[in-house]
Amino acid sequence: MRQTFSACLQALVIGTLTCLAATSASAADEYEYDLVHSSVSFKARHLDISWIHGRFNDVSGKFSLDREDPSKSTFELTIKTDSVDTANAARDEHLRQPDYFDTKQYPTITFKSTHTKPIKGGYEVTGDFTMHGTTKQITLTLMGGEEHVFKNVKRVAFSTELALKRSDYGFDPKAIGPIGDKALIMIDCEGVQK
Amino acid sequence: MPEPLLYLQAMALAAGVSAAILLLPARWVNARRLTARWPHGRCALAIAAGLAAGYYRLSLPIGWPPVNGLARWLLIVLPLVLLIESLGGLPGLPRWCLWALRAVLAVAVPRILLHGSVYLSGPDYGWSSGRAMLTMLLCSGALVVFWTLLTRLACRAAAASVLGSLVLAILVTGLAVMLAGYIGGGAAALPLAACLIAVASAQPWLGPAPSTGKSIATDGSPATDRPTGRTRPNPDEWLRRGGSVMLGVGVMGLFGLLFVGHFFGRLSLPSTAVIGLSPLLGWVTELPWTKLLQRQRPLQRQCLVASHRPAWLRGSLRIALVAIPLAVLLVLAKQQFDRELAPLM
Repeated sequence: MRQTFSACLQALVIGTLTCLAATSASAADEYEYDLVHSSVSFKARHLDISWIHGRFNDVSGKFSLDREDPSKSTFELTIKTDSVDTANAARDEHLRQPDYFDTKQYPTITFKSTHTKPIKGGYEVTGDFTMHGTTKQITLTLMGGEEHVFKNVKRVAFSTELALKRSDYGFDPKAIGPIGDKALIMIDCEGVQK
Repeated sequence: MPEPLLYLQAMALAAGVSAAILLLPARWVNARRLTARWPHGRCALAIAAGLAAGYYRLSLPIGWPPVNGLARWLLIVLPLVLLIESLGGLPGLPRWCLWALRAVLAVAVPRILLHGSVYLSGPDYGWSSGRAMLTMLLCSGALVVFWTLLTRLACRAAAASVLGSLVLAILVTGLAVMLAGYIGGGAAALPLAACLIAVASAQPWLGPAPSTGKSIATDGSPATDRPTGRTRPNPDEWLRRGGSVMLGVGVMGLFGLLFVGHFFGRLSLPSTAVIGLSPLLGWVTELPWTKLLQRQRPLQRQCLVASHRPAWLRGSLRIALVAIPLAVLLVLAKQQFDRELAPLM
Protein backbone atom coordinates (compact mmCIF):
# COMPACT_ATOMS: atom_id res chain seq x y z
CA MET A 1 0.00 0.00 0.00
CA ARG A 2 2.80 2.37 0.99
CA GLN A 3 4.70 1.51 -2.21
CA THR A 4 1.63 2.22 -4.33
CA PHE A 5 1.14 5.58 -2.60
CA SER A 6 4.80 6.44 -3.09
CA ALA A 7 4.63 5.59 -6.79
CA CYS A 8 1.50 7.70 -7.23
CA LEU A 9 3.17 10.63 -5.45
CA GLN A 10 6.24 10.36 -7.65
CA ALA A 11 4.08 10.28 -10.76
CA LEU A 12 2.19 13.33 -9.53
CA VAL A 13 5.38 15.29 -8.86
CA ILE A 14 6.92 14.34 -12.20
CA GLY A 15 3.70 15.16 -14.03
CA THR A 16 3.44 18.52 -12.33
CA LEU A 17 7.05 19.38 -13.14
CA THR A 18 6.55 18.30 -16.74
CA CYS A 19 3.46 20.47 -17.04
CA LEU A 20 5.31 23.39 -15.49
CA ALA A 21 8.18 22.90 -17.91
CA ALA A 22 5.79 22.69 -20.82
CA THR A 23 4.04 25.85 -19.65
CA SER A 24 7.38 27.55 -19.33
CA ALA A 25 8.45 26.41 -22.81
CA SER A 26 5.23 27.52 -24.37
CA ALA A 27 5.82 31.00 -23.00
CA ALA A 28 8.30 31.54 -25.82
CA ASP A 29 6.60 31.93 -29.17
CA GLU A 30 8.53 30.69 -32.18
CA TYR A 31 8.50 32.77 -35.35
CA GLU A 32 9.93 32.28 -38.79
CA TYR A 33 11.28 35.05 -40.96
CA ASP A 34 8.64 36.02 -43.52
CA LEU A 35 10.57 36.78 -46.69
CA VAL A 36 7.52 38.28 -48.39
CA HIS A 37 7.08 41.04 -45.83
CA SER A 38 10.67 41.57 -44.76
CA SER A 39 13.79 43.06 -46.21
CA VAL A 40 17.48 43.38 -45.57
CA SER A 41 18.88 46.35 -47.41
CA PHE A 42 22.07 48.35 -47.27
CA LYS A 43 23.61 51.52 -48.52
CA ALA A 44 27.17 52.71 -48.92
CA ARG A 45 28.75 56.00 -49.91
CA HIS A 46 29.94 56.51 -53.47
CA LEU A 47 32.81 59.00 -53.84
CA ASP A 48 31.59 60.34 -50.50
CA ILE A 49 28.94 62.39 -52.30
CA SER A 50 26.02 60.00 -52.73
CA TRP A 51 24.57 56.68 -51.56
CA ILE A 52 24.37 53.39 -53.41
CA HIS A 53 21.46 51.25 -52.29
CA GLY A 54 21.14 47.51 -52.45
CA ARG A 55 19.42 44.59 -50.82
CA PHE A 56 19.74 40.87 -50.21
CA ASN A 57 16.89 38.91 -51.72
CA ASP A 58 17.47 35.57 -50.02
CA VAL A 59 17.20 35.81 -46.27
CA SER A 60 16.01 33.32 -43.69
CA GLY A 61 15.82 33.24 -39.95
CA LYS A 62 13.80 32.59 -36.88
CA PHE A 63 13.26 34.08 -33.48
CA SER A 64 11.58 33.12 -30.26
CA LEU A 65 9.97 35.65 -27.99
CA ASP A 66 9.53 34.98 -24.32
CA ARG A 67 7.24 37.68 -23.04
CA GLU A 68 7.59 36.59 -19.43
CA ASP A 69 11.34 36.37 -19.43
CA PRO A 70 12.61 38.42 -22.38
CA SER A 71 16.21 37.50 -21.67
CA LYS A 72 15.34 34.02 -22.97
CA SER A 73 14.30 35.38 -26.35
CA THR A 74 16.57 34.44 -29.21
CA PHE A 75 17.14 35.80 -32.72
CA GLU A 76 18.85 34.26 -35.73
CA LEU A 77 19.26 35.58 -39.24
CA THR A 78 21.01 34.14 -42.29
CA ILE A 79 21.61 36.17 -45.44
CA LYS A 80 22.77 34.53 -48.64
CA THR A 81 25.43 36.80 -50.07
CA ASP A 82 24.84 35.49 -53.57
CA SER A 83 21.45 37.21 -53.53
CA VAL A 84 22.93 40.72 -53.45
CA ASP A 85 20.90 43.04 -55.65
CA THR A 86 21.79 46.64 -56.44
CA ALA A 87 19.55 46.96 -59.49
CA ASN A 88 22.58 46.53 -61.75
CA ALA A 89 23.48 42.99 -62.81
CA ALA A 90 27.09 43.79 -63.67
CA ARG A 91 27.66 45.47 -60.32
CA ASP A 92 26.01 42.54 -58.53
CA GLU A 93 28.41 40.15 -60.26
CA HIS A 94 31.28 42.39 -59.28
CA LEU A 95 30.16 42.44 -55.66
CA ARG A 96 30.06 38.63 -55.60
CA GLN A 97 33.76 38.42 -56.44
CA PRO A 98 36.51 37.88 -53.87
CA ASP A 99 37.42 41.56 -53.72
CA TYR A 100 34.03 42.14 -52.11
CA PHE A 101 31.64 39.53 -50.67
CA ASP A 102 33.52 36.50 -52.07
CA THR A 103 30.27 34.59 -52.24
CA LYS A 104 31.90 31.30 -53.30
CA GLN A 105 33.99 31.29 -50.15
CA TYR A 106 31.57 33.00 -47.79
CA PRO A 107 28.05 32.14 -48.95
CA THR A 108 26.28 33.57 -45.92
CA ILE A 109 26.19 36.47 -43.51
CA THR A 110 24.79 35.36 -40.17
CA PHE A 111 23.66 36.79 -36.88
CA LYS A 112 22.97 34.70 -33.81
CA SER A 113 21.95 36.29 -30.54
CA THR A 114 23.72 35.52 -27.31
CA HIS A 115 22.00 37.95 -24.97
CA THR A 116 18.68 39.77 -25.08
CA LYS A 117 17.60 42.67 -22.94
CA PRO A 118 14.20 44.34 -23.04
CA ILE A 119 14.17 48.09 -23.62
CA LYS A 120 11.39 50.54 -24.10
CA GLY A 121 9.72 49.75 -27.41
CA GLY A 122 11.78 46.69 -28.22
CA TYR A 123 14.85 44.66 -27.36
CA GLU A 124 18.55 45.19 -27.19
CA VAL A 125 20.05 42.07 -28.69
CA THR A 126 23.72 41.21 -28.48
CA GLY A 127 25.07 38.46 -30.67
CA ASP A 128 27.68 37.12 -33.06
CA PHE A 129 27.67 38.73 -36.48
CA THR A 130 29.66 36.83 -39.09
CA MET A 131 30.48 38.36 -42.43
CA HIS A 132 33.29 37.57 -44.89
CA GLY A 133 34.60 34.92 -42.52
CA THR A 134 35.02 37.33 -39.62
CA THR A 135 32.87 37.12 -36.51
CA LYS A 136 32.35 40.09 -34.25
CA GLN A 137 30.01 40.67 -31.36
CA ILE A 138 27.54 43.44 -32.06
CA THR A 139 24.46 44.84 -30.36
CA LEU A 140 21.30 45.49 -32.32
CA THR A 141 18.48 47.66 -31.13
CA LEU A 142 15.33 45.93 -32.33
CA MET A 143 12.36 48.23 -32.26
CA GLY A 144 8.84 46.85 -32.44
CA GLY A 145 7.69 43.49 -31.26
CA GLU A 146 3.97 44.11 -31.16
CA GLU A 147 1.83 41.14 -32.05
CA HIS A 148 -0.76 41.23 -34.76
CA VAL A 149 -3.12 38.46 -35.72
CA PHE A 150 -4.07 38.45 -39.37
CA LYS A 151 -6.14 35.60 -40.83
CA ASN A 152 -5.55 33.56 -37.70
CA VAL A 153 -1.80 33.84 -38.01
CA LYS A 154 0.15 35.68 -35.36
CA ARG A 155 2.79 38.04 -36.68
CA VAL A 156 5.47 40.10 -34.99
CA ALA A 157 7.78 42.62 -36.62
CA PHE A 158 11.04 44.33 -35.74
CA SER A 159 13.20 46.97 -37.36
CA THR A 160 16.83 47.84 -36.81
CA GLU A 161 19.73 49.63 -38.40
CA LEU A 162 23.35 48.71 -38.18
CA ALA A 163 26.46 50.63 -39.18
CA LEU A 164 29.68 48.77 -39.83
CA LYS A 165 33.03 49.20 -41.47
CA ARG A 166 33.90 46.76 -44.24
CA SER A 167 37.56 46.91 -43.31
CA ASP A 168 36.68 45.42 -39.90
CA TYR A 169 35.45 42.30 -41.65
CA GLY A 170 38.46 41.49 -43.79
CA PHE A 171 37.39 43.20 -47.00
CA ASP A 172 40.31 44.17 -49.20
CA PRO A 173 41.18 47.76 -48.27
CA LYS A 174 42.21 48.38 -51.89
CA ALA A 175 38.77 47.35 -53.09
CA ILE A 176 37.13 49.96 -50.90
CA GLY A 177 38.16 52.70 -53.32
CA PRO A 178 35.30 54.97 -54.39
CA ILE A 179 32.80 52.94 -52.37
CA GLY A 180 33.08 54.04 -48.76
CA ASP A 181 34.33 51.79 -46.01
CA LYS A 182 31.26 52.41 -43.91
CA ALA A 183 28.02 50.64 -44.78
CA LEU A 184 24.58 50.94 -43.27
CA ILE A 185 22.40 47.86 -43.05
CA MET A 186 18.68 48.18 -42.55
CA ILE A 187 16.72 45.14 -41.41
CA ASP A 188 12.93 45.05 -41.38
CA CYS A 189 11.84 41.65 -40.25
CA GLU A 190 8.34 40.27 -39.97
CA GLY A 191 7.97 36.91 -38.28
CA VAL A 192 5.17 34.41 -38.71
CA GLN A 193 4.38 32.17 -35.78
CA LYS A 194 5.16 28.54 -36.46
CA MET B 1 40.66 50.10 -58.06
CA PRO B 2 43.63 48.95 -60.15
CA GLU B 3 46.86 50.68 -59.18
CA PRO B 4 49.31 50.37 -62.11
CA LEU B 5 52.14 52.16 -60.31
CA LEU B 6 51.87 49.81 -57.36
CA TYR B 7 51.89 46.81 -59.69
CA LEU B 8 55.01 48.06 -61.44
CA GLN B 9 56.72 48.60 -58.10
CA ALA B 10 55.78 45.12 -56.93
CA MET B 11 57.04 43.58 -60.17
CA ALA B 12 60.30 45.52 -60.04
CA LEU B 13 60.85 44.57 -56.43
CA ALA B 14 60.07 40.92 -57.06
CA ALA B 15 62.38 40.78 -60.08
CA GLY B 16 65.15 42.69 -58.32
CA VAL B 17 65.11 40.51 -55.22
CA SER B 18 65.00 37.31 -57.28
CA ALA B 19 67.89 38.36 -59.48
CA ALA B 20 69.90 39.60 -56.51
CA ILE B 21 69.49 36.33 -54.64
CA LEU B 22 70.45 34.35 -57.70
CA LEU B 23 73.46 36.48 -58.57
CA LEU B 24 74.63 37.00 -55.02
CA PRO B 25 78.40 36.55 -55.12
CA ALA B 26 79.19 33.03 -54.16
CA ARG B 27 81.75 34.07 -51.59
CA TRP B 28 79.09 35.95 -49.66
CA VAL B 29 76.99 32.91 -49.22
CA ASN B 30 79.91 30.51 -49.37
CA ALA B 31 77.86 28.27 -51.56
CA ARG B 32 79.53 28.15 -54.93
CA ARG B 33 79.94 24.41 -54.76
CA LEU B 34 76.42 23.99 -53.55
CA THR B 35 75.10 26.15 -56.38
CA ALA B 36 77.07 24.20 -58.92
CA ARG B 37 75.73 20.94 -57.59
CA TRP B 38 72.26 22.09 -56.68
CA PRO B 39 71.08 25.05 -58.79
CA HIS B 40 67.49 24.06 -58.14
CA GLY B 41 67.76 25.08 -54.52
CA ARG B 42 69.15 28.48 -55.36
CA CYS B 43 66.52 29.09 -58.04
CA ALA B 44 63.77 28.10 -55.62
CA LEU B 45 65.19 30.41 -52.98
CA ALA B 46 65.43 33.28 -55.46
CA ILE B 47 61.84 32.80 -56.62
CA ALA B 48 60.55 32.48 -53.05
CA ALA B 49 62.33 35.65 -51.94
CA GLY B 50 61.15 37.55 -54.99
CA LEU B 51 57.57 36.45 -54.50
CA ALA B 52 57.64 37.38 -50.83
CA ALA B 53 58.96 40.85 -51.66
CA GLY B 54 56.51 41.41 -54.49
CA TYR B 55 53.48 40.29 -52.53
CA TYR B 56 54.58 42.32 -49.53
CA ARG B 57 54.63 45.40 -51.75
CA LEU B 58 51.22 44.53 -53.18
CA SER B 59 49.83 44.27 -49.63
CA LEU B 60 47.35 41.60 -50.56
CA PRO B 61 44.92 40.90 -47.70
CA ILE B 62 46.26 37.49 -46.81
CA GLY B 63 47.24 36.01 -43.49
CA TRP B 64 47.55 32.74 -41.67
CA PRO B 65 45.47 30.66 -41.67
CA PRO B 66 44.64 31.30 -45.32
CA VAL B 67 40.94 32.00 -45.65
CA ASN B 68 40.33 32.11 -49.37
CA GLY B 69 41.49 30.47 -52.56
CA LEU B 70 44.09 33.09 -53.43
CA ALA B 71 45.61 32.96 -49.95
CA ARG B 72 45.81 29.17 -50.08
CA TRP B 73 47.50 29.36 -53.47
CA LEU B 74 50.05 31.83 -52.16
CA LEU B 75 50.68 30.34 -48.73
CA ILE B 76 50.32 26.61 -49.37
CA VAL B 77 50.55 25.71 -53.04
CA LEU B 78 53.46 27.88 -54.15
CA PRO B 79 55.69 26.97 -51.18
CA LEU B 80 54.93 23.30 -51.75
CA VAL B 81 55.85 23.42 -55.43
CA LEU B 82 59.03 25.34 -54.61
CA LEU B 83 59.96 22.73 -52.05
CA ILE B 84 59.28 19.82 -54.40
CA GLU B 85 61.12 21.40 -57.32
CA SER B 86 64.10 22.30 -55.17
CA LEU B 87 64.31 18.64 -54.19
CA GLY B 88 64.42 17.80 -57.87
CA GLY B 89 68.09 18.59 -58.23
CA LEU B 90 69.28 16.55 -55.30
CA PRO B 91 71.77 13.92 -56.38
CA GLY B 92 70.43 10.44 -55.95
CA LEU B 93 66.75 11.33 -55.98
CA PRO B 94 65.06 9.00 -58.48
CA ARG B 95 63.16 10.65 -61.30
CA TRP B 96 60.02 8.67 -60.55
CA CYS B 97 60.09 9.94 -57.00
CA LEU B 98 60.07 13.55 -58.20
CA TRP B 99 57.19 12.87 -60.55
CA ALA B 100 55.31 11.07 -57.80
CA LEU B 101 55.64 14.14 -55.59
CA ARG B 102 54.44 16.35 -58.43
CA ALA B 103 51.47 14.05 -59.04
CA VAL B 104 50.51 14.08 -55.35
CA LEU B 105 50.66 17.85 -55.35
CA ALA B 106 48.60 18.03 -58.54
CA VAL B 107 45.92 15.84 -56.97
CA ALA B 108 45.90 17.86 -53.75
CA VAL B 109 45.88 21.35 -55.23
CA PRO B 110 42.23 21.55 -56.40
CA ARG B 111 41.08 20.30 -53.00
CA ILE B 112 43.32 22.79 -51.23
CA LEU B 113 42.08 25.70 -53.32
CA LEU B 114 38.41 24.79 -52.93
CA HIS B 115 38.67 24.16 -49.20
CA GLY B 116 35.81 25.67 -47.22
CA SER B 117 34.15 27.04 -50.33
CA VAL B 118 30.53 26.75 -51.32
CA TYR B 119 31.48 24.13 -53.91
CA LEU B 120 32.34 21.57 -51.24
CA SER B 121 29.53 22.42 -48.84
CA GLY B 122 27.13 19.80 -50.15
CA PRO B 123 24.43 19.64 -52.79
CA ASP B 124 22.18 22.15 -51.04
CA TYR B 125 24.55 25.01 -51.78
CA GLY B 126 27.27 23.66 -54.04
CA TRP B 127 28.22 20.50 -55.85
CA SER B 128 27.23 16.95 -55.12
CA SER B 129 30.10 14.85 -53.80
CA GLY B 130 30.33 13.03 -57.14
CA ARG B 131 30.54 16.21 -59.14
CA ALA B 132 33.08 17.68 -56.76
CA MET B 133 35.24 14.58 -57.00
CA LEU B 134 34.97 14.47 -60.78
CA THR B 135 35.79 18.15 -61.19
CA MET B 136 38.82 17.93 -58.93
CA LEU B 137 40.07 14.79 -60.65
CA LEU B 138 39.66 16.37 -64.08
CA CYS B 139 41.56 19.44 -62.98
CA SER B 140 44.32 17.34 -61.42
CA GLY B 141 44.58 15.16 -64.52
CA ALA B 142 44.74 18.20 -66.77
CA LEU B 143 47.45 19.68 -64.58
CA VAL B 144 49.60 16.52 -64.70
CA VAL B 145 49.21 16.20 -68.47
CA PHE B 146 49.98 19.90 -68.96
CA TRP B 147 53.07 19.70 -66.74
CA THR B 148 54.35 16.58 -68.48
CA LEU B 149 53.82 17.95 -71.97
CA LEU B 150 55.58 21.21 -71.21
CA THR B 151 58.50 19.42 -69.58
CA ARG B 152 58.88 17.14 -72.56
CA LEU B 153 58.65 20.13 -74.89
CA ALA B 154 61.37 21.88 -72.93
CA CYS B 155 63.51 18.77 -73.26
CA ARG B 156 63.47 18.94 -77.04
CA ALA B 157 64.91 22.37 -77.81
CA ALA B 158 64.63 26.08 -76.99
CA ALA B 159 63.65 25.25 -73.44
CA ALA B 160 63.53 28.87 -72.33
CA SER B 161 60.79 29.56 -74.85
CA VAL B 162 58.52 27.20 -72.94
CA LEU B 163 59.00 29.33 -69.86
CA GLY B 164 58.43 32.41 -71.99
CA SER B 165 55.09 30.99 -73.10
CA LEU B 166 54.16 30.30 -69.51
CA VAL B 167 55.08 33.80 -68.37
CA LEU B 168 53.01 35.22 -71.20
CA ALA B 169 50.05 33.09 -70.17
CA ILE B 170 50.48 34.10 -66.51
CA LEU B 171 50.52 37.80 -67.40
CA VAL B 172 47.44 37.46 -69.58
CA THR B 173 45.70 35.49 -66.83
CA GLY B 174 46.39 38.31 -64.40
CA LEU B 175 45.04 40.94 -66.75
CA ALA B 176 42.01 38.84 -67.74
CA VAL B 177 41.12 38.12 -64.10
CA MET B 178 41.44 41.83 -63.31
CA LEU B 179 39.31 42.80 -66.30
CA ALA B 180 36.70 40.29 -65.13
CA GLY B 181 36.49 42.21 -61.85
CA TYR B 182 38.80 40.36 -59.45
CA ILE B 183 41.56 42.90 -59.04
CA GLY B 184 43.40 41.21 -56.16
CA GLY B 185 43.50 37.86 -57.92
CA GLY B 186 44.78 39.37 -61.14
CA ALA B 187 47.43 41.44 -59.40
CA ALA B 188 48.83 38.29 -57.81
CA ALA B 189 50.00 37.14 -61.24
CA LEU B 190 52.33 40.08 -61.76
CA PRO B 191 55.08 39.43 -59.17
CA LEU B 192 55.10 35.77 -60.19
CA ALA B 193 55.72 36.65 -63.83
CA ALA B 194 58.38 39.17 -62.83
CA CYS B 195 60.19 36.61 -60.66
CA LEU B 196 60.24 34.03 -63.43
CA ILE B 197 61.56 36.54 -65.97
CA ALA B 198 64.27 37.71 -63.56
CA VAL B 199 65.42 34.22 -62.62
CA ALA B 200 65.40 33.07 -66.23
CA SER B 201 67.43 36.12 -67.23
CA ALA B 202 69.95 35.60 -64.45
CA GLN B 203 70.21 31.86 -64.93
CA PRO B 204 73.05 31.94 -67.51
CA TRP B 205 75.31 33.43 -64.81
CA LEU B 206 74.73 30.49 -62.53
CA GLY B 207 77.61 28.52 -63.93
CA PRO B 208 77.71 25.09 -65.46
CA ALA B 209 75.03 22.57 -64.70
CA PRO B 210 75.82 19.42 -62.78
CA SER B 211 77.17 16.67 -64.96
CA THR B 212 74.60 14.50 -66.64
CA GLY B 213 74.21 11.15 -65.05
CA LYS B 214 71.53 8.64 -64.42
CA SER B 215 71.75 9.17 -60.72
CA ILE B 216 70.86 12.86 -61.01
CA ALA B 217 67.17 13.45 -61.25
CA THR B 218 66.16 16.70 -62.79
CA ASP B 219 62.92 17.07 -64.57
CA GLY B 220 61.73 13.76 -65.74
CA SER B 221 63.13 14.29 -69.21
CA PRO B 222 63.18 11.12 -71.26
CA ALA B 223 66.56 11.60 -72.87
CA THR B 224 69.13 12.94 -70.48
CA ASP B 225 71.88 10.86 -72.01
CA ARG B 226 71.05 11.20 -75.65
CA PRO B 227 73.65 12.69 -78.00
CA THR B 228 72.92 16.30 -78.79
CA GLY B 229 75.17 17.23 -81.67
CA ARG B 230 77.93 19.78 -81.79
CA THR B 231 76.16 22.97 -82.76
CA ARG B 232 73.00 22.75 -80.72
CA PRO B 233 73.04 23.30 -76.93
CA ASN B 234 71.60 20.50 -74.90
CA PRO B 235 68.08 21.50 -73.76
CA ASP B 236 68.57 19.44 -70.63
CA GLU B 237 71.28 21.85 -69.63
CA TRP B 238 68.65 24.54 -69.09
CA LEU B 239 66.49 22.25 -66.98
CA ARG B 240 69.43 21.02 -64.92
CA ARG B 241 70.45 24.58 -64.15
CA GLY B 242 67.20 25.27 -62.35
CA GLY B 243 64.93 25.51 -65.34
CA SER B 244 62.72 22.75 -64.00
CA VAL B 245 62.09 24.85 -60.88
CA MET B 246 60.96 27.78 -63.00
CA LEU B 247 58.87 25.49 -65.14
CA GLY B 248 57.21 23.87 -62.11
CA VAL B 249 56.47 27.19 -60.46
CA GLY B 250 55.20 28.57 -63.74
CA VAL B 251 52.92 25.61 -64.36
CA MET B 252 51.52 25.56 -60.85
CA GLY B 253 51.29 29.33 -60.78
CA LEU B 254 49.32 29.46 -63.99
CA PHE B 255 47.07 26.62 -62.88
CA GLY B 256 46.37 28.24 -59.51
CA LEU B 257 45.59 31.62 -61.00
CA LEU B 258 43.26 30.15 -63.59
CA PHE B 259 41.58 27.94 -61.00
CA VAL B 260 41.01 30.79 -58.55
CA GLY B 261 40.04 33.17 -61.34
CA HIS B 262 37.46 30.75 -62.69
CA PHE B 263 35.97 29.23 -59.54
CA PHE B 264 36.12 32.31 -57.31
CA GLY B 265 36.28 35.12 -59.83
CA ARG B 266 34.40 35.54 -63.08
CA LEU B 267 36.92 34.21 -65.56
CA SER B 268 34.75 32.26 -67.99
CA LEU B 269 35.40 28.63 -68.82
CA PRO B 270 36.31 29.34 -72.49
CA SER B 271 38.79 32.02 -71.43
CA THR B 272 40.24 29.70 -68.80
CA ALA B 273 40.61 26.93 -71.36
CA VAL B 274 42.20 29.17 -73.99
CA ILE B 275 44.78 30.55 -71.57
CA GLY B 276 45.44 27.15 -70.04
CA LEU B 277 45.95 25.43 -73.39
CA SER B 278 47.87 28.20 -75.12
CA PRO B 279 51.36 27.23 -73.83
CA LEU B 280 50.83 23.80 -75.38
CA LEU B 281 50.69 25.43 -78.82
CA GLY B 282 54.47 25.33 -78.65
CA TRP B 283 54.15 21.67 -79.63
CA VAL B 284 53.11 22.82 -83.09
CA THR B 285 56.76 23.59 -83.80
CA GLU B 286 57.57 19.96 -83.16
CA LEU B 287 55.13 18.57 -85.69
CA PRO B 288 56.77 16.97 -88.74
CA TRP B 289 54.92 19.10 -91.28
CA THR B 290 56.28 22.30 -89.79
CA LYS B 291 59.72 21.32 -91.03
CA LEU B 292 58.71 23.12 -94.21
CA LEU B 293 59.28 26.31 -92.30
CA GLN B 294 62.82 25.45 -91.43
CA ARG B 295 65.94 26.36 -93.28
CA GLN B 296 66.73 22.95 -94.66
CA ARG B 297 70.20 21.66 -95.15
CA PRO B 298 70.97 18.70 -97.43
CA LEU B 299 71.55 16.37 -94.54
CA GLN B 300 68.48 17.56 -92.67
CA ARG B 301 66.20 17.07 -95.65
CA GLN B 302 66.50 13.38 -95.09
CA CYS B 303 65.17 13.74 -91.59
CA LEU B 304 61.43 13.90 -91.02
CA VAL B 305 61.55 15.17 -87.48
CA ALA B 306 61.50 18.86 -86.85
CA SER B 307 64.23 18.85 -84.25
CA HIS B 308 66.88 20.16 -86.64
CA ARG B 309 65.33 23.59 -86.92
CA PRO B 310 67.44 26.30 -85.25
CA ALA B 311 66.53 26.63 -81.63
CA TRP B 312 66.00 30.38 -81.80
CA LEU B 313 63.53 29.96 -84.66
CA ARG B 314 61.60 27.29 -82.85
CA GLY B 315 61.56 29.38 -79.69
CA SER B 316 60.32 32.45 -81.53
CA LEU B 317 57.66 30.42 -83.29
CA ARG B 318 56.46 29.00 -80.01
CA ILE B 319 56.18 32.42 -78.41
CA ALA B 320 54.32 33.77 -81.44
CA LEU B 321 51.93 30.83 -81.51
CA VAL B 322 51.11 31.32 -77.86
CA ALA B 323 50.87 35.09 -78.10
CA ILE B 324 48.27 35.20 -80.85
CA PRO B 325 45.33 33.56 -79.04
CA LEU B 326 46.26 35.30 -75.82
CA ALA B 327 46.23 38.68 -77.53
CA VAL B 328 42.83 37.97 -79.05
CA LEU B 329 41.50 36.88 -75.67
CA LEU B 330 42.85 39.99 -74.01
CA VAL B 331 41.15 42.24 -76.56
CA LEU B 332 37.84 40.44 -76.00
CA ALA B 333 38.25 40.71 -72.23
CA LYS B 334 38.91 44.43 -72.52
CA GLN B 335 35.82 44.89 -74.66
CA GLN B 336 33.72 43.05 -72.12
CA PHE B 337 35.21 45.15 -69.34
CA ASP B 338 34.40 48.37 -71.21
CA ARG B 339 30.87 47.15 -71.76
CA GLU B 340 30.05 45.86 -68.29
CA LEU B 341 32.39 47.08 -65.58
CA ALA B 342 33.80 50.39 -66.78
CA PRO B 343 30.45 52.19 -66.32
CA LEU B 344 30.54 51.17 -62.67
CA MET B 345 33.75 53.05 -61.97
